[in-house]
Amino acid sequence: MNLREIKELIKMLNGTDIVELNLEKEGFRLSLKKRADGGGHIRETDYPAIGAAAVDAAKSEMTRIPSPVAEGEDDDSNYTTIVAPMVGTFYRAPSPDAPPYVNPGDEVEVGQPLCIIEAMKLMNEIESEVKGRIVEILVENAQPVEYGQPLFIIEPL
Amino acid sequence: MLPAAMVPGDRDRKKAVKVLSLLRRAAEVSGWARGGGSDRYLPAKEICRSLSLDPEALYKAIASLRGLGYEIEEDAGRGFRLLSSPDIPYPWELAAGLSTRWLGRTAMFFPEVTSTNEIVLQLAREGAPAGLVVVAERQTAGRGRRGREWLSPAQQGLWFSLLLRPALPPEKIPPLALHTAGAVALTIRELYQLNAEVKWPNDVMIGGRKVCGILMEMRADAGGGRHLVIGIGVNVNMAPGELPPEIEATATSLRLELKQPVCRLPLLQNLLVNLERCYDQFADESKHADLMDLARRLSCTLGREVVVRGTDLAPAGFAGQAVAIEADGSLKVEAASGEVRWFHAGDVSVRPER
Repeated sequence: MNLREIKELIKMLNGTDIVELNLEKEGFRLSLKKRADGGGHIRETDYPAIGAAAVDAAKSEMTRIPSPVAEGEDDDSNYTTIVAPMVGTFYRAPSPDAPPYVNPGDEVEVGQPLCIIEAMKLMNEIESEVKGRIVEILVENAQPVEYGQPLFIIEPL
Repeated sequence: MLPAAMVPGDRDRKKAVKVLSLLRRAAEVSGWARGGGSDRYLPAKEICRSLSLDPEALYKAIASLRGLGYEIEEDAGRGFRLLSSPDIPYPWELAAGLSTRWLGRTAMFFPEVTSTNEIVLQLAREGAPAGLVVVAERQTAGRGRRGREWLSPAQQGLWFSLLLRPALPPEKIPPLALHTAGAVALTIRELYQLNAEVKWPNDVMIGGRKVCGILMEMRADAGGGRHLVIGIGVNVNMAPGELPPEIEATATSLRLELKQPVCRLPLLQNLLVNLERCYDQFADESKHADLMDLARRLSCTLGREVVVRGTDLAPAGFAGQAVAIEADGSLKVEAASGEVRWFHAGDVSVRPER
């Protein structure tokens, strides 16, 4: 695991309720803990702590990674967020001169394509996993997205 | 609606293919026994007897084979003789001598389609099995990345798409672009001793010119799984002056490199063997490191000065040295300023060495 992958892991953990993660793989051990003092976020400035982090040799289980469909947070709990299942470039239309798959306000069916994420020339069509109405599109066309980054907010109907 | 395909299942076609294999065996046996001798005719009576055909059915089969491009001579006294076979990857030709276990075991051939990826995407939705291969003689709307056109004239190339149903999660799939290009490059090296390389992420190059392009499209199944369609276009037999002017400076064909035409059928068969091995390895995560090592060895991008252009970058792009291909397939580029960036998408151009 390289520094970049660790950074990605930290970014991903920040979007979840997981407070501690221990990972062990082929002679490599990593332990990440969020601050208990209410901050709850691992910050980029905390990097030096990783090397010095206490490693619990007994623990090696990987905490479950959230599934691609995350429930909305707090007061928006009725909304469903569609997140990126992979790192890549976000496209709202099948080709540059085609109309977007969906616009805010559109009603979508389960399985209806919402966007494409391109990674290494793999065009990955992302479908809606709920029937609902598009409330917001969170990413601009042709922008890079990270694994787990929210893309669409959908109000289930 | 799918255009008419040539599938071996059709009853009349099955008969024709049986007649073909008899004629071919006769041609081979007499050629071997009599040193390429004169008598390769097979009497009509003998064909009818061994295949339980009536003469009318035999003539229908012969006519159908001729329509497919097989040259068959008839001599009133001696019977039929196969003079030549077209270099067209019909499914029955592909199946004869194909040593894969699952890739291409179901195959279809279309004289003309819009795009083979489109056909496979449609068949995948209808439940087609993993390993399906669709070959077209000509694509009228061959697709490149992001709506770009891929020129695919008849006879001159191998335009085909294949269907995979990977069990790995979607974020693990992108490196398959590199590995697919790697399998194609290896095949070209093995068959023709040409120095084929991979330009990150998935173009196969010979001497800095593109000989093969790949487009992968992934979609969800109704059942919750995902299917992956991989479209592969190889420039095979474009003769000098036959490449369209808009790509002449950046593309090449096997024929242009070898200075002689290439048979497409053995090329396709060998491609499928190497692709199958690659996909078998990819299905086993413990083999990913080996596959990535191979991708690095075949890369003509690694170590070079490159410019990456992408929609999220300034028009001038990001210039630097391609210093690594990471385990996830991304390209690590280090600028002269020391700034380092990782790319998962984007167009890479290699700056000519001074």
